Amino acid sequence: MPIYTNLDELMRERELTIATLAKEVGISPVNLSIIKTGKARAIRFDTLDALCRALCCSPGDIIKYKERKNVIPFFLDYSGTTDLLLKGGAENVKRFFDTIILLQEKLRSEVRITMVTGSAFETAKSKHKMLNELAGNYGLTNLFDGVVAEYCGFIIKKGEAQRLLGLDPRILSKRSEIEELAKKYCGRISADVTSMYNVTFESITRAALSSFAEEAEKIVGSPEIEAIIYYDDYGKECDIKPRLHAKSEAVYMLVKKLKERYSIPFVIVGGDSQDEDLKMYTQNKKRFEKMGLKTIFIAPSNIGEIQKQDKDIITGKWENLDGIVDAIQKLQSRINLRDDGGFEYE
Amino acid sequence: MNKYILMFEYNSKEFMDINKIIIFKQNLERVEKKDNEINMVFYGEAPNEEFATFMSYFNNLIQKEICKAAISIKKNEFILENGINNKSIKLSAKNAKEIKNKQFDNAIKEFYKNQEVIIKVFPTKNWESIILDLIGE
Repeated sequence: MPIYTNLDELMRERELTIATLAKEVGISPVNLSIIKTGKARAIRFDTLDALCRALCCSPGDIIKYKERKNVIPFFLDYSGTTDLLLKGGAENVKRFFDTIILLQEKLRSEVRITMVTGSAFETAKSKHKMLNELAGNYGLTNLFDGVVAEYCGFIIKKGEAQRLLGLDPRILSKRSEIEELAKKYCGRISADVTSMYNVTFESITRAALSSFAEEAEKIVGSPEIEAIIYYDDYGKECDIKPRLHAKSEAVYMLVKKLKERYSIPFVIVGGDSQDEDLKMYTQNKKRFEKMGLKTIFIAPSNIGEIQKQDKDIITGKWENLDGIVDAIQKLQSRINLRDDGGFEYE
Repeated sequence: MNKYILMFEYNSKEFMDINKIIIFKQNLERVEKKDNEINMVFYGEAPNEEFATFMSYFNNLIQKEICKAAISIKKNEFILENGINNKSIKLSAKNAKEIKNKQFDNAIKEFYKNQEVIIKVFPTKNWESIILDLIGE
């Protein structure tokens, strides 16, 4: 529904918990939660009045109207795909854009691609800039929504620290500090995030000690996330909890954020690796189902047995950009927009 | 055969344009058919990583190793095209001073040592068609 409540933000600003506000308003926490999460079908004027008093605001601050745009998040692993996207030259990129335009038109939705890249942060940012310019000049202003820079920090593992720390001169001044942390946590930390978001190494350390993923998201913060940092399999050797798979968690977090703002018919995950990228899909499929979302995996053609068991895996020949175009076209033929605005899958 | 080095001020928005790149490729073919070799060098103030990524993307889109280096005016360096990996060479003090005034001749000649090159500094506007000037079209 395009009408929703802004209670989340108002409560956050005022540092109010559900229990406190419910008490002040004189309703049960359960009922307040129903209003807050947009599940209420109606709201009584006296409840609205009490909410306005408690929050010192007007009804318009609580109840908002936003036309909900259909957005299809498309997470595309980038390490090998960068080359794939460009391999066929400008003509093929044009074909790719045209395919996206057709999909958008058919589903009356906006495709938002988030590249998931293993590049260091500055390179990830540059890649995003180039793709954004390419798509923007072609009229697809929002196509490349962002980049998840998996390695936006520096992976500091035993024996690799020297080599990796040498990547960026800016980090050299912090070398001893980083090495100390590396010894302590044997994981990854992000120098770029510290400078970009003005946080200290200490806050990252604290975050690592508690729940790194959630804290990292707070640090990176805004809904238009450019970068996100997580521990992933590289954390195997550490004692840090939770041991999360970086890509999967990033995809999950971003979809949750997008869902707050847009209507999401389904999520596409694409990649060229059977291990890492498939994890992005399998680890999130059930979680997205709980959120009422279907997930589709666009896979290399040789994905094998898993594909036979799962009809939501669509394959294309992944050797070049034609494979991506091919898979998107297959996807397009399987999904239809219903008259009521919903989607059906064949 | 003439070997031209075309200098352009870096502007990712202007050059990362599929339609313009396709026109440029066609024009490039016409210029090359008349026994010319074209290299491009971009100059500007972007970070090295951005130059490196830009060159890699641009070459891929053109499908030719047309851009082998960029000049960072900020850092006084040549950034070499090396995939998306960043490799750079410091300019000499004399050349660094010259490029501040957009005089690239000595820096470029140093880079393309032992090669006869003709250096042309072109404006960014209509970059996709301006190379036709080289063959008088």
